[in-house]
Amino acid sequence: MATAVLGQDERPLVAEASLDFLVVEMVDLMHRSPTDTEMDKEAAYFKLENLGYQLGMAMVERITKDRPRFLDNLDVVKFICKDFWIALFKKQIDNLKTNHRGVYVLTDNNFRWFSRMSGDGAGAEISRQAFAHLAFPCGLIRGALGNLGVTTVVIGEVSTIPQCTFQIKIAKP
Amino acid sequence: MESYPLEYVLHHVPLMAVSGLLDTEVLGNNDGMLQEDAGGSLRKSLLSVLMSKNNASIWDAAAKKEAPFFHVTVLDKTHVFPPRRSPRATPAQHSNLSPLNPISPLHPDGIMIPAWIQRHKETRPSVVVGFYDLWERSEAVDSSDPLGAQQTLSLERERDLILCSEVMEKKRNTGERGIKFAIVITLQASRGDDTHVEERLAFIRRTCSLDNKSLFVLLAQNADLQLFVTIMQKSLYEQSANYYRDHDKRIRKKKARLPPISAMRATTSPTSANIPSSTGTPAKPLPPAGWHLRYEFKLGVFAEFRQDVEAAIKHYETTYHLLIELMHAAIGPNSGPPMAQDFLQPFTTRWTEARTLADCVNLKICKLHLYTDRPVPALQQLDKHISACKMFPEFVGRPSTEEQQGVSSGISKLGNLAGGGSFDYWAWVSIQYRVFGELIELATGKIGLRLPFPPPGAISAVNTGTGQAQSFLNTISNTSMNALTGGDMPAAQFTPSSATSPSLVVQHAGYYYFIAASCAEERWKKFRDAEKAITSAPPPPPSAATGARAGHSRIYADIPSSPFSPLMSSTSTHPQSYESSLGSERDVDHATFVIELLTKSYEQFKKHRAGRMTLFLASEIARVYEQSGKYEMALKFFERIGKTYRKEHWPSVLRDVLRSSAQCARTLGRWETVAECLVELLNERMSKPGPDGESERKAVLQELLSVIRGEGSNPSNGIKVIVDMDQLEGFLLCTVQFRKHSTYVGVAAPFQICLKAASSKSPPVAIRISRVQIAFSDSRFDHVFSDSTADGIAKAREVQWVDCTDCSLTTVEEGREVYSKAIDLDFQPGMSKVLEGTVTPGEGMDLKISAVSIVVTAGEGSLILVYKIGERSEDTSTRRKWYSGDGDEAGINRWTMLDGSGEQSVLRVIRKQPNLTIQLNHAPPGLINEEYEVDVEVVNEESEDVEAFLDVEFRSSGADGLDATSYIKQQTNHLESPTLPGNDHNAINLIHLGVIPAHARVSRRFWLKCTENAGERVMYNIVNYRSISRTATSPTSPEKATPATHPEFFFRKNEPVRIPFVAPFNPEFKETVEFGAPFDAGEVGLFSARSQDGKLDMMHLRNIGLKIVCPGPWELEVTEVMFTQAIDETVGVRSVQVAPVTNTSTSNPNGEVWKAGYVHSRVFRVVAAIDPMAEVSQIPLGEVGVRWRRKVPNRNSTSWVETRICLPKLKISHDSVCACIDIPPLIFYTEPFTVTYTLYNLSLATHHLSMNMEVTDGFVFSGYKQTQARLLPLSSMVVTYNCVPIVCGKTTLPKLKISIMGEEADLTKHGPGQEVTDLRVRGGVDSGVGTAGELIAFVRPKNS
Amino acid sequence: MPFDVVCIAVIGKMNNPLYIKNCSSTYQDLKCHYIAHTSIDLVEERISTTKHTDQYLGLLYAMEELAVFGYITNTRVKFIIVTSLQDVAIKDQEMKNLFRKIHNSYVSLVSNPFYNPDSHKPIVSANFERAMAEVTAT
Repeated sequence: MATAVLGQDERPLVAEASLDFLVVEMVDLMHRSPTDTEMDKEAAYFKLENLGYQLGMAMVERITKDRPRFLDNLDVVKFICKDFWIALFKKQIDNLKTNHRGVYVLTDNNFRWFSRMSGDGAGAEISRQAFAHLAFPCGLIRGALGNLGVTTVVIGEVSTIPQCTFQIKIAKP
Repeated sequence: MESYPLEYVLHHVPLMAVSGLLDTEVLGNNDGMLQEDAGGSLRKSLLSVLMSKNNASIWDAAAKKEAPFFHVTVLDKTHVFPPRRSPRATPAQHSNLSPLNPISPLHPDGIMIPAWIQRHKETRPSVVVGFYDLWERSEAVDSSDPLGAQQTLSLERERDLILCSEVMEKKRNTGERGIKFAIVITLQASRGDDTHVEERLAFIRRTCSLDNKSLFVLLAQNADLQLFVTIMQKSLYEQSANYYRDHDKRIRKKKARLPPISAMRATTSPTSANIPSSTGTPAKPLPPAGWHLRYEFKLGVFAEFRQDVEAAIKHYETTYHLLIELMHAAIGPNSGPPMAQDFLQPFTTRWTEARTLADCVNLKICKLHLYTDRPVPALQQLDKHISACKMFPEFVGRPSTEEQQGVSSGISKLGNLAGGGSFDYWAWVSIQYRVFGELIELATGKIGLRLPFPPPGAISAVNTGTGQAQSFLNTISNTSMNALTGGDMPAAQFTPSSATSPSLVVQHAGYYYFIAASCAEERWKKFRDAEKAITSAPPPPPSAATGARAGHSRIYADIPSSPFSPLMSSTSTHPQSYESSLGSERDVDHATFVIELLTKSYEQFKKHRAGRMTLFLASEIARVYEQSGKYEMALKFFERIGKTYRKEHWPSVLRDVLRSSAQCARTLGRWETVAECLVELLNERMSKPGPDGESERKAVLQELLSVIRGEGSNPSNGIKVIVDMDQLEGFLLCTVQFRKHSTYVGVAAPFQICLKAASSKSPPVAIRISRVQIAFSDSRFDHVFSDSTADGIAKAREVQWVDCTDCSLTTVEEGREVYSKAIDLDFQPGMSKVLEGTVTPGEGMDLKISAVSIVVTAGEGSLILVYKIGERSEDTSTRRKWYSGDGDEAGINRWTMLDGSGEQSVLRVIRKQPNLTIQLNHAPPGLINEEYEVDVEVVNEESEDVEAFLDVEFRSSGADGLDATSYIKQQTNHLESPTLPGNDHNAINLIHLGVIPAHARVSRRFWLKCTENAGERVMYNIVNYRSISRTATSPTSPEKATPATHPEFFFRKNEPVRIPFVAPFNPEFKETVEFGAPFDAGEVGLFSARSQDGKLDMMHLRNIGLKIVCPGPWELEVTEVMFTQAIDETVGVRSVQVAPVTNTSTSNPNGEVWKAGYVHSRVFRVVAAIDPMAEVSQIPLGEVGVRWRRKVPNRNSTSWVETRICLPKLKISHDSVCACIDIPPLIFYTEPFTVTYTLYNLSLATHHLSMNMEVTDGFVFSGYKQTQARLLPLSSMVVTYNCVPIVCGKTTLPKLKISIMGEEADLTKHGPGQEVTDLRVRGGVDSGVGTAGELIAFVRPKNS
Repeated sequence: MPFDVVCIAVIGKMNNPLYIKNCSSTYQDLKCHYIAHTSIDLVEERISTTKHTDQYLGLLYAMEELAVFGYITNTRVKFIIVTSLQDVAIKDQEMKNLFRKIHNSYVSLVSNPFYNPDSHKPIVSANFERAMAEVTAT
C-alpha cells in the first residue's frame, strides 16, 4: 500500500482486491490469535489499532513531504479528510463536523473496505461484526494525526454498512 | 566602551553657550527688587530647561524625532573669547594641542588626542546666546503729563543704549571667533503686542544690527519655557551648523595646502611637503599623511557636530583607512608608503594613541551605521577593523608559543595569525566584540533595531557579492525598518533567487558577547601558555614591569585600569613590554571576566527566550568555574543544567555534564555525588558506541565500586549512596506488575518485579546484586531477596524467571519481619530478571508497591538504587505484560499481554463477606412467665474458618426497648460467655463463638422470660465475624482482636426475630353474696363467727367462683394449683376465712395436662368478721398459684414455673340497713306464697323506713301497698306479703321498695329517702336479684 | 557547493536527537550536539513568530564561525545543517535542496517497518548513513 500512496507516476499497480483481502484477513487473524487476557476482543482491537497507528505514522511522513506546514489543528484534520483519505481510498471524507472544542466527526458514506461486505442477520449484528474492521482505520487516523503533532483518541462507529463515522477527540495537552 | 576616552566615544552635539543667566549678574543691573527676584527665578528655570538635554545621548534624539539639540554651557556675562590667532603664526601661537606647539603633548608628531575634542565639546560654543532684560518703568506712564512721558522716554532710550552697547561688545567678540551670536530679551512686565515696546525692540535690533533670526523676545508672564527653548534652538540650529561648516571650510583649506595622498605615496621625502615645520625640535615633525589624518578626523568630528551623519561616516571611514594604512606601513617590512616609517613605531606612546584612535573611530563608524539603521555595514566595519589590526606586532603571539596548539575551534578564523595571537590580541578582540555587543544592545533598546537582520530569506541572490551587498543592504534595511515598525516579523519568503550570507547577518548582542567571552578565554589560555614558556626563563626585572605600568597610567590617568584596557603592553620598548604586559596580566582575574561576558550573553539570550542556548552558556560558565578552581559553583551550575538534557534525551551532552560534575565532585570529595553521576554514566547511551565506549563504561563501573568501597574518602570505610533511579537515565530499569487489579482477602495475589538492562551491553560486566528490597505501602508485606551466591552464569539467558513465591518470614532488626528468600541475583549484561512473588493480604486495603531498591555492596559500602514506583506517573502507551514461565527449560516462557496498560503497582484487596447464616429454633408464641427457649445457630458456609462473636438482645417492642419484667439468660455451662452486666438483663454481648471451622455450625441456647405484659418482643441476634486464614498476612495479634476493639476487621450480620408473648391462663371470677343475718352466726352454720370477747361482729359471707382458662396454643403440664390466703392486718378486720368449697386440690407431682381451652374452676367461701365501727372498704383475700410448664414431648428438662392469679379483693359495704329476702324455693302457678323481708338496722341510729310495693304484672299480691315503719338501732323487723303468680317461667317478683327517711320531725314531708340496696336473697333456683336490682323468681306450672 | 557542511542533525518531535553527524575535523562531537540542541530554540521561535508555511526555515543563527540552517517537517521533525561561516551568500535554494535530500531519506527510513518513530532511540540505519554521506559529499 505504501507504494500505492506515493503519488508517484512510476508506481507499480496493485490490485485493489488483494489489499481488501489483506485487510479482511488481518482482522480475522487478529481475532483468532489467542491472547492471555480476559478480554480477547479488546486485545485484538488493540493490536489492529496499533498496526494502523504505525502505518499511519509512516504514511503521513510521506504524504506531507511536499506540503506547506500546517498552521492549526483544523488544517491537519482537513488534510486527513482530503489528501490522506484520497491516498488511502481514492475518495474524500464525505462530511466533517466539529464542535470547535477539539472534537471532529468524519463521515464516510461509502467506506471502501465495507463496500464489498454484506452480512446476514439484523443490522445491529452486522454493524457489530463490521466494527472489528474499524480498528485498523482508526489506528491509521490516530497515527497520522499523532505524527502531525495532534495526539487524539479516534473512535469508529458503523450504523449501516458501508457508511461509517470516525470521531476524533483531540487530547488536551 | 567605557574603557576608551569618553571624548572619542561620546556623540558630539553642537555646543551652545548662554550668558546672563547666572544670578551673580543679577546684582549688576539695579532694577526694582520685585523684578529682580522674579527675573532670578525665571533665569533659574530657563537654565534648567536648557541644561536638561545635556546628558541625553544620540539614541534619545533618534528615538523622539525632534530637532537636533544643543549641548549647553553657561558663560559668565563678562566672558571674553580669546582672539583667533592669525594664520601664519609662530609656533608659540599655535594652539597648545597642535603638534606644532612645543608644549602640547602631541609635539612633535602626535596625531590626535581626546583633549582636542574635549575643547570643542566644552569651550568652543557654536552659538552664544545672551539673555538681557529690557528695562521697564515700574510705574504706569500718564499721557496727561507730557513732561513725565518725555522724561521716561529719554530714560528708556538711555537704558536701551547701554544694553545695545553691551550686546555690540559681545557680538564683536564672538564675531571675530566666527561664533554665532543671538540675544534673548526678556520682558518682565509689558505685553508683546505693546507697540511702544516693539518700537524699542526694533531700535535695539537696528542699533546692534542683529537680524530678526538672532533676537528673541521672552515674555516673562505666561511663558512656556520649554516651547520657547525648543523654538529658539530650532532657529539657531542652522547658524550653529554654519559655524561648524566654517570650521569645515577652514580645515579643508588647510588640507588643500597639503600634498594629496596619492602624491605622498609617490614621494619619498617627508620634508618636501610644505607643511608647517616646527623649529628647534630635534624630533621628526608630523608627516603630511599624519596631517591628512588629523584633518580628516577633524572634518568627521565637525560633521558629527552638525549632525551630518552621512558626511561624518564618510570622513571617519577615510580617517580610519588612512590610520590603518599608516600603521601597516609602520610595521610592514619596508613595503607600503615609506613616508611613515620614521614615525608611529610600534611600542611607542604614539602607536598606542593611534590604536586607541583607530578603535574609537571604528566604534564611531559602527555606532553611526547602527544609528542610521544600517547594522550590516556596522558589522562589516567590525570585521574590517579586526582583520586590519590583526598583524600588529604586539598582537602576534610569541614565537616561543608557536608550538602551542592553535586557538580553540570556535574562533579559529579570528586566530589565524602567527602564534595564534598574543593574549594582548585576544584581550583586544574581546573588547571589540564586547563593545559591538554593547552598541547592538543600545540600538535594539533605544531605536528598536530588529534582529536578526536581514530577516531570513531577504537577500536576493542577484547581488550577494560582499562589496555591493552593503549598499544594497542599506536600501533594504531602510525599507524593512519601515515595515518593521508594524511590529510583527514579516513572513520570510524564500524565493528561488533568495540567498543568505551568514557572515553578514547581524544578530542580537548575546552572540557578540559570547564571542567576546571565548576570546577572553583564549586570552587566558595564551597567557597560561606564556607563563609556561616564561617559567623556564628568569623572572622579569620588576622595575620594568612596574615602571611600565606607571608609565601608561601616567598618560591616561582618566582611564579605568580595566584589564581590557587596550593600552597596556605598549608603553615601553619591546622586550620589556612583553614582560610588563605579562606582569600586568598576572594580576588579571581572567575567569571573572570570561564569566562576566558569558553572563551578559546569558542575559541577552534569556531576554530572547532561548532557553537551550542559556543552558549551553550555563554549561560554559560552569566549565570556566571549573577551570578557575571554583568547583562549588561549577557543580551548582552543572546540577542545574543536567535536567533538561536528561528530559529531552541528549545523552551525549548529558554525558559531558555528568563527567564534568563528577570531576568537580571528586575534587571536592563529595563522593555521593560522584557515585550518582557514575551510575548514570553507566547507561550505554552515555558512552560513545563501540568497544571504546564499552571499556569506558567498564572503567566507570570500576571507579563506582571503588568509590562505594570508600577509597578516596580518607577514613577508608565504605560509604552508603542512595540513588533515585527514576530521576536519571539508569542502566538498569525496573518495572512492577500485579497480575490482577484486585484480589480477595486471604487470596494469594502474584506480582512480578522485572529488572531489565537498559541496553544489551549494560551493565558492562556482570554484577552481583546483593539484595533486592521491595517496599509495600504496608510494611508488613515487605520482601527482601538476598543473593544466594550460586553462580548464575550457567543459566544466564536473556530473560530469567525467578520464583520467589515461597518466601519465609524472617525478622530483621527489632521485631520487624519481612518475607525473604535467597535467590540468584547475578545480573548479566543485557539480561532481564523477572522475580515473581505473591502476597496474600489478610484484610481489605489498597496494597501498593511503593519502591524497589537494589542494593549492590562493595566492601563495607553499599550502593542503593531506588526505584520510586509509587511516585511514577501513569503511562498509557505500553500494554501490561506478564512473563509466564517456570524456571525449567521445558515450560513455555513468554511474555503475555494483560489487560490494561502501564504498570499495575496497586492491588485492591477486597474483603469478601464470608457466607455465614444465623438460624433460630424456637416455638412462638412464648408464654408469660415461662423460660422461652431459643436456640441460635451460626452456620459457617465458607471453605475457610471464621471467628465469630455473638451479641443477643431481648427487647420489648416498646420505645426504649428496656423493660424490667423481661430478661434473657444463657446456658451457663459455656464458661467463655462473659457474665452479663447487671444493669442490662436484656442483652448479652461478645459471646465468643470461637473459630468456626469451614462448613461447621455453632449453636447457643438462650432463655427469654417476661413476667408481665403479654405482647410482642424482639430478639436481636448480631454476629460479628471474620474469616481466619492461616496463610494470609493478617493484622498484628489477631487472636486478641474483638469487635469491640477492632471493629474494622469484622463483618456484622444481624438476624432480628419478633416473638409474641401471651399469658398462659385467663382467670375469670364470679362473686355472690350469701343469705344470712349480719350478726347471727347461727345460720352460718359451718363455724362460729362469734369471737371470744363477745364483741359484736359484722359478718360478710361471700362465695367466689374462679375459672382458669388456658388460651393455648400450647398444652401445659400443671403440678399444682394452690391457694394461699393473704395475710391482712387491716384494723377492724377481726377474722377472715377463705375456704375452698370444692376440695379438688390438684397436687400430683407429674401433673396433669391442661389442653388449650381447658377450664379449671374453683369456689371459695369467704367469711369475714368485721368491727362494725371500723371503716373497712375492702379486704385482700389471696392468690392462687399455678405451677406449670409447657408440655414438650419427650423432654421434661424444662423447669417448672409458677403463675400467680390474684383473687379479687372483698368489697365491704357500709349500708345502715340491709334486707334479707326469703323467697320460697318452689313457686307454682296460681299457688300463693309468701315472701319474707327481714330488715336489719345495722347502724346505731333509729331509721324511719317507708316501704311501698312495686307491682309487677306477673303476680298479684296482698298486703299493704305502702307502709312505714320505725327501726331501732341494731334491731330487726320482718315484713311479709303474699303473692300469687299468674304467669309461668322466670318473672320478676313485686319488689318492696324500702327507703330510709329522715327523723320523725320531718316525717310529714315525703322526700325520696335513701333506698336500701343491701339485699341478700335466699330462694330457689333461678331466684335472686337481677341486674337492675329487681327480684327474680321462677314460676313452675302447677303439678297435677 | 560554495560552503562545506560541518554538521547534520536530525531532531525528533520531542526535541530528542535522532541523528547527529559531525563532518568536520576541527569541531568535536559534543560541540555539534550543543549546536543542534541550541538550534531548537531558534526553530521554535521561527515557527511561532513567522506565519510562513515553508518547511525550510533559512538561517537560524550564525555563531562564532558557524552558520546554522533549519528545516522542520510537518511531523515536527527538525533537520539542522551547520555550515562553516564564509563571506559568501548561500542560496536558499541550494540549502533547501540539501534539506530535501535529508527529508527524503528520512521518509524512507520511517517507512521501514522495523523503525519505530515513537521510540526516542537514535537512528541506526545503513541506508540513512549512506544518504547523509551523499548529502555532505555534494
